[in-house]
Amino acid sequence: MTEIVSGRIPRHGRRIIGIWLVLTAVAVPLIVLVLGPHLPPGRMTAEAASQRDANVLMTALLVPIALLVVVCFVYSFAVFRQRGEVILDGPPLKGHAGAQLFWIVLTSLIVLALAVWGSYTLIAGSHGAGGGQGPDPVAKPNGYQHALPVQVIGQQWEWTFRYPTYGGLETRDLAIPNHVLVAFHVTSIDVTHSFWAYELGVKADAVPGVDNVAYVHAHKTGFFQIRCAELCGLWHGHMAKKGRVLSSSAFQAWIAAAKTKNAAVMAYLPKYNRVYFPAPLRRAG
Amino acid sequence: MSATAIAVRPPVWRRVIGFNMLTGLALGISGWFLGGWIGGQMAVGHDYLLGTDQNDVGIFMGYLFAIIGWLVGLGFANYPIGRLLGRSPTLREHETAGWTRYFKMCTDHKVVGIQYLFGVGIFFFIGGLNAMLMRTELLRPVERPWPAGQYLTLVSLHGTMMIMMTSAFILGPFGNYFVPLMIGARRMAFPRIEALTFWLVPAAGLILMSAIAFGGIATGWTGYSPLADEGRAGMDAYVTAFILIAISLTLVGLNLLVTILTMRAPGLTWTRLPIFVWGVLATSVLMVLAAPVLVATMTMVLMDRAANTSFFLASAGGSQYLYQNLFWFFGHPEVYILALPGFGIVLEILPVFARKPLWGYRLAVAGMLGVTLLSFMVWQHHLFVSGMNAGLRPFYMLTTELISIPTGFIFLNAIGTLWRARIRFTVPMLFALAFFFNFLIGGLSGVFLSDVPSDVTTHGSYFVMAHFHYTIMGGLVFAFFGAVYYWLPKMLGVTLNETLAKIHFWMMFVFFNLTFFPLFAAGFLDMPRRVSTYAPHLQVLNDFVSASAFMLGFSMLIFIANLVWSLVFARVPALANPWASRGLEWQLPTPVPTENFERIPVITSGPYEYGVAGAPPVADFTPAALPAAGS
Amino acid sequence: MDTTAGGTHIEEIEPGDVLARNIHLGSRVWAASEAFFFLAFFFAFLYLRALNTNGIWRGWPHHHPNPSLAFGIAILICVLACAAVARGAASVAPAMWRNAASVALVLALAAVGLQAAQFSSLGFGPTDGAYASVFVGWSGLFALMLLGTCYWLGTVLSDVTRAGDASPEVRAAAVDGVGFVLLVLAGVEIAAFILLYIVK
Repeated sequence: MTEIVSGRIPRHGRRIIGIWLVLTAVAVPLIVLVLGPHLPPGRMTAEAASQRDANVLMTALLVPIALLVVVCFVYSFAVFRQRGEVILDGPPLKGHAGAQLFWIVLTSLIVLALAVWGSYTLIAGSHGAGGGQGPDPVAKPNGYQHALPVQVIGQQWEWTFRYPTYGGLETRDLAIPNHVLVAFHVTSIDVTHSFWAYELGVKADAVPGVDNVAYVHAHKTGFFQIRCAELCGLWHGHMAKKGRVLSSSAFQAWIAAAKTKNAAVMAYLPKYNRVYFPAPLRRAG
Repeated sequence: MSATAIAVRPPVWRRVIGFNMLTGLALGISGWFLGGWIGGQMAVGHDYLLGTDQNDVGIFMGYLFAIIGWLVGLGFANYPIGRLLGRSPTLREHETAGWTRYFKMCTDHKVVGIQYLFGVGIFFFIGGLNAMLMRTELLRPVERPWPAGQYLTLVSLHGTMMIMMTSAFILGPFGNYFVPLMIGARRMAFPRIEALTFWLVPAAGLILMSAIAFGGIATGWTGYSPLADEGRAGMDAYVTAFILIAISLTLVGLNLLVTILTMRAPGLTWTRLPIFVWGVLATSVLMVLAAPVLVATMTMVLMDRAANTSFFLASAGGSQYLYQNLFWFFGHPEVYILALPGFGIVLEILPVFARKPLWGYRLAVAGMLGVTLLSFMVWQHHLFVSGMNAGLRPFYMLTTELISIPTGFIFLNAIGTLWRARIRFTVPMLFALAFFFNFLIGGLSGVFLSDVPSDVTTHGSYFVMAHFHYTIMGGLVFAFFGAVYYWLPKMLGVTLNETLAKIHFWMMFVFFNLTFFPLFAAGFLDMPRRVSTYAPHLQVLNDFVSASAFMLGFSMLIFIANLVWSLVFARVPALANPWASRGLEWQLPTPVPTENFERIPVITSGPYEYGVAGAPPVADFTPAALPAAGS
Repeated sequence: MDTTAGGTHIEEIEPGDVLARNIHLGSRVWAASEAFFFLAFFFAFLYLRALNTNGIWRGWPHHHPNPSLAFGIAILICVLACAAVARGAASVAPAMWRNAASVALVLALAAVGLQAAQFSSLGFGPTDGAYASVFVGWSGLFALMLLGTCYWLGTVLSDVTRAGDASPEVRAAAVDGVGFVLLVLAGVEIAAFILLYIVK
C-alpha cells in the first residue's frame, strides 16, 4: 500500500458522507412533512395517533440508514469498478477495529434507543397502542375502570358485538361513542380471528376461550373499517364491515334503536360472559 | 452385494427393476392403499363418531405406509435389516456411475447435492406457479377465476411448499455438494442419512400436493389450530408433509454439523473456514434444535385430528396459544434457517469478485452466531396482538430489535469488502449485491414489525407479507441464484450462457422490487393477508403487482431456458476455476472425481487471501505422508 | 441388491477414529434434538396446566383421568435401569459391554411393553381433557423413541456377534453414543414421571 493510496481513503469517506447528508437532508423533511400525514392509521383515536407517530418516526429514522448503506454500495460500484477482462487483486484490507467498533456501538445505540422508546410508547405513552393485551392488561389508561366495555365476538365469518352495560345487547354493527374510553373485549367462539379496526388503530386477536382487551379513545366521529387480520377459513376476506364513532347523544339514540330492533333476539342469547365455550365441534364420547 | 468383475451394461428394463425411484413410487402407492385399509379397520365408525365424513386415521395410516413403501422401494430398508442380520457396517453404497444413480439412493454427497438441486428446484417452480395463480385471482377484487376455497389452497400450497423447500434450498444442494469439498473431506459424516434426507423431500412434496385431492388446505402455511383441526382431509397431507420435512431438516443439520466439526482437513483452523461453511454450521445448529419442535407440534395436530386429543381446542381444555408458541418457537429460527445460508453465500461470493479478503471475517462469524443465539428468543413477536403475556412484549421487542445488530455486521462486511476493491460485475456478483439491497429493505421493514405500536398497524397485513418476501425471496432466492451461477460450472461441468443470465438477473431484480414494494403500501392501506377479496379502490395497485409478478415469473422461465440450453444443447465445458477463486472447491478438477481428493489436503492458508503479498496457495494437495483426517 | 452391474464401491480409506468421532458427536446432537422434541411436550404440560382453559385441564367434571401409578413406576425403573446399564457399559466397565447392551435392550423393550400394557388398560382416553392429551402424547411418543433406540442397540449387538468385533474403536463409540442417548431419554422419563404421575 503506497502513501498515495492511503491518502485517498479519507476523501472517499468524506464524499460518501457528503452525498449521504444531502440525500438525508432531502429525504427526512419529505418523509415527515409529505409522506407522514398519509401514513396509517390516521388520527381518529389517541391509539391510532400513537401508531401514526411511530410509523413516521420509524420511516424517518430507517430511511437514512438505508440511504447510508445504499450510498456506500453505489459509490463503491461506481468508483471501485474493475473494467475489462483483466483480474487484479485489490488491497488486502482485512478489517479495521475502529470502524467495526464504531458500527457496533452505533447500531447498538440505535437499537437500544428504539427498544426503550418503543416500550415507553407502548406502556406509558399509548397504553397498549390499541393492540390486544389479553385478559389482564398491563398498560391501562387513566380511568380504565370506567371504560365502556364492548365485546367483539369473532366467528366464521361474522363479527358481532355485545354491550354488557346495556343489558348484554348484541348487534351486528359496531358503534362507539366519541371522547369516551372504550375497552374492546375480543373473543372468538370457533377459530382464531383478529379484530382489526383500521382507523381506530385497534388490532386484537380473537382467540377461543380468551378475553383479549384493547383500549381505544376516539377523538373524531366518523366511519372506520373493520377487517379480520388472521386467516380464519373460507370467507376470511369477507369479515369486513364499517363501524362508526358517534357523538354521545347519537350513540345513546343508536343503542335505544338497536335494543328495540334486537329485542326479539335477546331472549335466545346466552348470558353475557367474558368467554364462551360452545360444545366442542369434534368430540366423540 | 458383490459386483461382477466385468461391467456388462444390462438392458434398460433390467436396470429399471430394482431399488430405485420407480419401485419407490409403486410401493408407495401400494402402501397408501394398504395403510388406508388398515387405518379403516383400526377406526371403524371413526368418521361417524366425529360427525365428519372423513376418516383421519385411515388417511394418516395411508400416508405412513406410503412413506414406508417409498423408502423400502428406494432401498433404505436393505441396510438396516442387513445390520440386524449381522452385515458389517459400511458407509457408502450405490455409488455407481451413469445417470441412473440420480434416481436411486446414492451416498455420494455430490450426487445428493445434484438430486437436491433439481428436486428442490422443481418444487420451487411449482410453488412459484401457485403464486402466479394467486396473482391471477387478485387481478380482480372478487373471487374470479378461482373460488375462495381453491384460492386458499393455492395460498397454503404456495406458502407451505416454499417454506418446506427453501429450508433446504441452499443446505441441500450446495451444503451437501460443497461443504465436504470446502473442508477437504471425501464424504459427509453420515452418507446414508444424507441420502435419506433428500429422498424424504420428494415424498413430502408429493404428499403435500396430494392435499389438492382431499379438499385442500385452508390454513396458510402457518396451519393455526383450531382452524387446522376443523379443516378437511387436506390438512392431514399438510401435517404429514411437514413432519417429514422437519425430520429431513433435523437430519440435514445433524449431518452437516458433525461433518464440519469432525471432518475438516488438517490445517483448516476455525479462522480459515470459508464463511459459507460458517453459515452452514450456524444453520445446522438451528435445524437440529428447532425442527424437532416442529415435529412435536405437528404430531400434536395429528393427534388432535386423528386421536381426538385436545391440545389446541379451548372447549376441551387446550389452547391455541400453545400451537402458536410451539409453532413460532420453530418458526422464528426457521426464518434464520432461511437467511443464514444466504449470508454465507453472498459473503463467499463477494471477496471473489471484489478481489479482496473478506473484510471483518471474525465480525461476520460473530454476526452469524449472534443471530443463531438470538433467534431462539424472539418468537413471541408473532404474538404481539394475540393477547398472551402482554407484559412480555417489551422483552420481545428488545430481543427482536437486538437481532438487527448481528445482521448489521453482515452489511458492514459487505461495505468493507467492496471498499477500494476491484469489483467485477459477473452474474453471481450481481445476485449477491442484489441480495444486500433486498435484504436491507426486508430487514429495515422488519423493524416496523418489531415495534409494537407500528406492529399493531401492520400485523397480519400485506406489509408483513412484503417484509418476509423481501427477506426470503429477495434474500434467500437471490443468494440461491447467485450460488447457482457461481457453482453450477463446478457441479454440472457446463458454462451457463451469460447474456441470458444477465437478462434473467435484471428482469428478476426489477420485477421483484416492482412486485413486492407496492405491497408495503397495500398493507398500510388495510389489506389483510390471504384474502381472496379486497377493497375495490386497491385494484389498480393489485393489478400492477400482478403484472409485475407475471414478469417475475417470466424471468424464471428465462433461467430454465438458459439451464436447458446450456446443459442439453450448447454444452460449453466449464473451466476448472472460471472465476479465479481461491476457494478449495475450485482447485479441484471439473468434474470432481468420485473421491474428491486423491489425498486429504493440508490447508495452508485462508480462502480469501486476495492481494496478500506472499500468501501461499490455499492447500497442499500432495502432502508427503497421508495425514490423519481432521485437524 | 444393486442391479447396476459394474458398480464401484469406494474403499474405506479414512482412519476408523473419524467414524468413531462422528458417532460420538452425532449421538450428542441427536440427543439434543430428542430433548428439544420432548421440550415441546414439557412446555405443553406446564402451559396447558397453568391456563386450565374452561376448567377441564384434569378432564371433564366427575371424570378425572388417573393413570396407574404402578405402571408408571415400573416404566420409570426400566428406563432408568436401562440407561444406567448402557451408560455404565461405556464408562465404568467397557469389557462387559456385550452383556450390558443385552440387558439394556431387554429393559428398554420391557419399558415399551409396559407402556403398551398401560395404554390397553388406561381407564380414560385422549378425549378426556388437556391432561389426558399430554399424557397420551408424551408417553406414546416416548415409547416410540425408546423403540427406535432399541434398534440401535440391536445393531450394536448383532453386527459384533455375527462379524466378530471387527473395529473395536467404532463399536466402543456406538456403545457410548447409544448410552448417552438413553441417558438423555432417562432424563426425559424422570421429567415425564414427575409431571404426568405426581404433579398432574
